[in-house]
Amino acid sequence: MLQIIDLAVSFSSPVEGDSSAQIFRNLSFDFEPGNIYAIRGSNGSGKTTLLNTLANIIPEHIKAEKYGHVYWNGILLNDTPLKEMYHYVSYQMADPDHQIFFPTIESEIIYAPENLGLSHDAIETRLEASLQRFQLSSIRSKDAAKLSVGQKKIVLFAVLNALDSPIILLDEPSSGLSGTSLRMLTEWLLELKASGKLIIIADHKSEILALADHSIDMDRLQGQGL
Amino acid sequence: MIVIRDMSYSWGQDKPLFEHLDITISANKSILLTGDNGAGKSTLLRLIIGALQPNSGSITYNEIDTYRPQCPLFAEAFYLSQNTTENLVGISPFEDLSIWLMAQPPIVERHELEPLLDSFGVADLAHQPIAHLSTGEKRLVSLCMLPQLMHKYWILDEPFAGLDAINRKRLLELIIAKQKLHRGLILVSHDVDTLTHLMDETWEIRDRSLSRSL
Repeated sequence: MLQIIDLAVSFSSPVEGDSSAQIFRNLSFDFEPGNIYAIRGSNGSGKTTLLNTLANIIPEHIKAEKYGHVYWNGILLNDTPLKEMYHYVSYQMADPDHQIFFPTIESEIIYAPENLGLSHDAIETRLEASLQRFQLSSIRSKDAAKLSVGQKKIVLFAVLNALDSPIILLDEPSSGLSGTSLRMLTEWLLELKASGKLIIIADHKSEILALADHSIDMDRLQGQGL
Repeated sequence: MIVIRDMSYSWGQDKPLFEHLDITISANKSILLTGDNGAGKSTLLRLIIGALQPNSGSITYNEIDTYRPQCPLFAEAFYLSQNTTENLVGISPFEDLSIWLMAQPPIVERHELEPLLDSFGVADLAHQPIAHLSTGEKRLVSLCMLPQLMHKYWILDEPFAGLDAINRKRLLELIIAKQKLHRGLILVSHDVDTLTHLMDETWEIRDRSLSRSL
């Protein structure tokens, strides 16, 4: 179980004279594996901030005041360095250009399981399964950076699939996806759920929100507890 | 009228995205452009605005190739990239909109800039660094100039991506208002169900070609 207790995040304002902006506070919630959680809310309500906080990108990479505790099966994740977080969490961010680095789709997918220290054969198995799952086999040696925005998102789903972490965070996974790709995404999400993963999604699309077992409305959280 | 004639395009050595494409875009029609991920929707918009040059064939406006700097389309159209960071060049939303003060002929005056941000509900972000805005907020800032540009031809790449319900409605209302003025636009979206009824035509890119339905 992922347990958040009294979580609060605020950014100090860069504009002189402005008070710091509190994104949310006193947020306590239990996330159970095998469930899909939707984070809903208007633009700017803090959906991405919550995901960044759960992934520890806040405060290690993005500076903010962060209070409270995040536990995964009793392990305190707050102090876990970002470079260790992949054991627990995989994260598709809203802008795929933030996450694509390697010269080919293949090497992009291989990087994550390599870091897990898997054997060559195990890495190959995960690579092939992910390529096939997301219909990327025919373009496996293409440069991912040159793909369209929608295709880059699909590559990131393949990366997350290969990493196989217990917690999966997705920020606007459906935006930019065509009907065919959207179906591929929803099928994958239902498979992940069935295999016991904990999935947390920020999205606006009804097809995605309809899959959620529970939802968190960030508009209702503004400045108050859940 | 934008005329695409026998146009082919491919990225480097890749398979062609378009082969011998022939199509005419009338400046008063609203067009929805759809297609699978990677089909070439964004590339076609970039070819139309002239940010890319066809490998063969031509895309012309007033009989001048759109990729040439002297083509008047560049002044008469407004292009929004799918990537919001490409659309915003200022440090803050206010500064970004200030760039329009330099437009010839003038479109807005300085005291009109901040109210522009109200059109998509982001006036309180006027002086925040753009780098601190969320993806959705950046998209909203990039849309704020649209009400002032009703007279231009719009070329919009996924303008609805990441918008919440209120702002979706605001953008839909703008598009309807623009259609009443008989000013054209072409936009990419996957939200076919909502938009296909609203737009004059729906074009789908499939198998390196365009199919159109009225």
